[in-house]
Amino acid sequence: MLARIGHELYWLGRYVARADHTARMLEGVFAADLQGRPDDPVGVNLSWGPVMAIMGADWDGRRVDADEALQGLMLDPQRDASVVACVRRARESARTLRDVVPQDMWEAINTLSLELLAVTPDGLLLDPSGAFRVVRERCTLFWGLMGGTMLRDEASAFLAAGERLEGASVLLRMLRVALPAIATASSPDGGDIDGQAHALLRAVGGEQAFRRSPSGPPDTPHVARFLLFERDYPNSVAAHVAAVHDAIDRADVASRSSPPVLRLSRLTADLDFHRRSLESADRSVLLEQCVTLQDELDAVDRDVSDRYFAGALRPVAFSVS
Amino acid sequence: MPTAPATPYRSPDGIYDEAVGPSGAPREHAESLMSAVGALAPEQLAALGKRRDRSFLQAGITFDTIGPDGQAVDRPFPLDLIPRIIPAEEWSTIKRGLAQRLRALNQFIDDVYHGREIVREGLIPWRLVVSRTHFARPVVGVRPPGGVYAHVAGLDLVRDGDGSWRVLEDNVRTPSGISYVLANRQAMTRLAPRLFSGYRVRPVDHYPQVLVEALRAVAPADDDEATVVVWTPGPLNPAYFEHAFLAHQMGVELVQASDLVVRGDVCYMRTTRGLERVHAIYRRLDDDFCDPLDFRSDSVIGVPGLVRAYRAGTVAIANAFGTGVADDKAVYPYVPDMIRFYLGEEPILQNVPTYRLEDPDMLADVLGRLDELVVKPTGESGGKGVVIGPHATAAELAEARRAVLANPGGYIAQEVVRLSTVPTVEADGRLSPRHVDLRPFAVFGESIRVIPGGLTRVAMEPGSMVVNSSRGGGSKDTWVLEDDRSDRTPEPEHAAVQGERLLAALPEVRWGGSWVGQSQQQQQAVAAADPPTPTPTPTDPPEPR
Repeated sequence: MLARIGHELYWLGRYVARADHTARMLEGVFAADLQGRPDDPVGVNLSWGPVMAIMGADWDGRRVDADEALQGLMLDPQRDASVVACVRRARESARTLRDVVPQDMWEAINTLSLELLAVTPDGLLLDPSGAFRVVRERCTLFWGLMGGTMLRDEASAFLAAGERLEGASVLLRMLRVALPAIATASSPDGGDIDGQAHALLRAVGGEQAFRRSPSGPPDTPHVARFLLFERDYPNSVAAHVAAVHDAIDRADVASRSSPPVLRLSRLTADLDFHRRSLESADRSVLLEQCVTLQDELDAVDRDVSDRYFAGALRPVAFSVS
Repeated sequence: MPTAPATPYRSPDGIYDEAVGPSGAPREHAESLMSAVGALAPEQLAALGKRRDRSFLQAGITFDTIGPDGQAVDRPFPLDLIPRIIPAEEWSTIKRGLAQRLRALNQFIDDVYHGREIVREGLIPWRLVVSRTHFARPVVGVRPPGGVYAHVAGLDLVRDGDGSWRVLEDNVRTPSGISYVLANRQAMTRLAPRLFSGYRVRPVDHYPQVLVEALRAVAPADDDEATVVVWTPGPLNPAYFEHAFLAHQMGVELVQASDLVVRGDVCYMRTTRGLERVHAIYRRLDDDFCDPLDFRSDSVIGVPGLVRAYRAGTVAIANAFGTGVADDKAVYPYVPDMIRFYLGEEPILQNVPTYRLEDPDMLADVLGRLDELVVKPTGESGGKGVVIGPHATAAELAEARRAVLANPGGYIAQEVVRLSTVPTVEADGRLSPRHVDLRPFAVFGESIRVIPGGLTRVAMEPGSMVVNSSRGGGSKDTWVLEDDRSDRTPEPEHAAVQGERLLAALPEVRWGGSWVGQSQQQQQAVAAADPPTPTPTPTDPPEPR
């Protein structure tokens, strides 16, 4: 496969996943933010300021308006992190790849792009749930079609690698913003403000999975550990990392000597080890873990670029206004 | 912009309206809501109503009613689009009142099945207690784990003509409706997020968590985490949606009788990995059907031996067996006395004036003005057999008189409460006042926790006071406001990182990279052949690439 094609596929996967995760997060925060502080201390909101920080925007701790955040992160084409921008770039990639990607998948992305263009700022504020649903459904359709119609070859492997790497990366960003918020608050173990965890679970759509798993009470350390280490939950960092490993391992003919595969194997083993060794870790330890993990994933991203995409296109930081 | 509805909303005379005062001006807490609603034209409201019905049908949030042709039809749960608002200070009174009443009722149940102190004190006749249909002989002398009997309570509150809150009924058996509280809130945040602006509404969606924590707290599990299940009579039960919803939200199994089995004194469920111990059962069926060995022997939806396991203390049942004795309508008039007797406090929430008909003087008085009172059978729930004097026909009154005379102890009479009204959307999108009541929910585990708001039920017919959903009533999202709505919590937790960037920017591909740069050159071929000046020469078309 051409390095250029592999690269496009990888980023197509990342952008679709990013649009998907962003829309889910916005939906979760939107619903939580409409309502006030809870009567019982189990649901402090993950509010808009932290969301801006998660999406890499400059945020100086001031209060961010729901309308402003929603408009900016959904519809602002100038903002690289917005859903519209992600979908636009995913569509460009998919158009370049029309000979590789099945027709249905291209249509899913193209339709989503058209549907998002039809959403006006006023319309978004009037009925945000409609816009969230469009993104969620089309992205789900995209991944479903990938699973159901795409040949399990290198192409699908790079697409999946991009998707899962992005999933892990978004999750780590969310945890890094949500964790210190609680650690530095007045009560040391978060007795009365420990709802950010709950909002976090909702924002990643993992509420029910968490309740059904034997993970303990929904306080921050438990939720953070669940989202980091629980391999049985498909949207955990551990599951994402394992999936990236499997995908790249499949794509590489000499995977035994491949730096990204080796790095990912080590990371998978580390995560499995920490699942047990950090069973009663507090937030600061978990936060450290998040930082380490994110550094490792950045390294994986670099390794992948170097090895497969001729090293020409390393990710660089773009400032998000 | 759409204009305000042609006829402004007015409350009926002599009735307390919760959104507007007697002058027609909105009350302070309802101002932003009424202006947000006023900005919507009737057609917009009607269109919103259609969207709501569609989304409820899609989500399967429905209930069965009998249509005009006698066939059962699946109707979307009737949610009215205008929320009902309860200001913070009113709510704190209600909350304290509910907790107080629930504590007293729980103590009463314990007392009835143990020492009978209140009977010996002469406050309530033993004859009355023991003759209640829900008095459970099999559990006399059994104290459940933690001493909690009424784990889940839903009390019906109404507002009188002067706006004061009163308790109309207690319900400590299997009160239903909480799932609709959660579903309504979720629907409102999706359908009408604009109405929330200017309000800080207390969330309700932590209820399943609160419930499962309470059940784990009372479960007799000594080793690790307790296994909790929700027990439903089955999918044909009208409240099955709620049972499934709660099990789903709590992340526990939804069991039917055939899934449970008692071996020795221990209750198990049948799983793919063999029998698994069950520590706490949130049951959603009446005592009578729970165990054919100790209660009704013809019950086919019960678990034989369950009462034995309960007695042995190996399983917690919520609510405990025999709680029905406390929410019987004949016991209701004694609740204020219970509060004084057990807690030494004055009741925070008052009863509706009620007459016990086994007293001959009261009976005579009541029969004399039957057309002004409400007559209720004591052992029923869901509005069954209730006769509302002012609205009843002569034949209905005569029938009620006959029934009361035949069995005075089986009925009570109450003064008619002129229920408060709230603006409600009619089918054509106009607002008009409708009567409402409120069923708040409280959960009793280690402590009592009251969920903000509750289920507001609305009578959908003008002037009607029948709010039961089985009889065509609707519901409203109920908003309990925070103490001070202008004071939004700042985000102090982030003060330490003010001014600095928390995370690096999102990783991006480099758009100026060599391959991407090609895209510009790919187009340059066209640009060269087709210069930007808008004078293309038709004889020189660009080369197709």
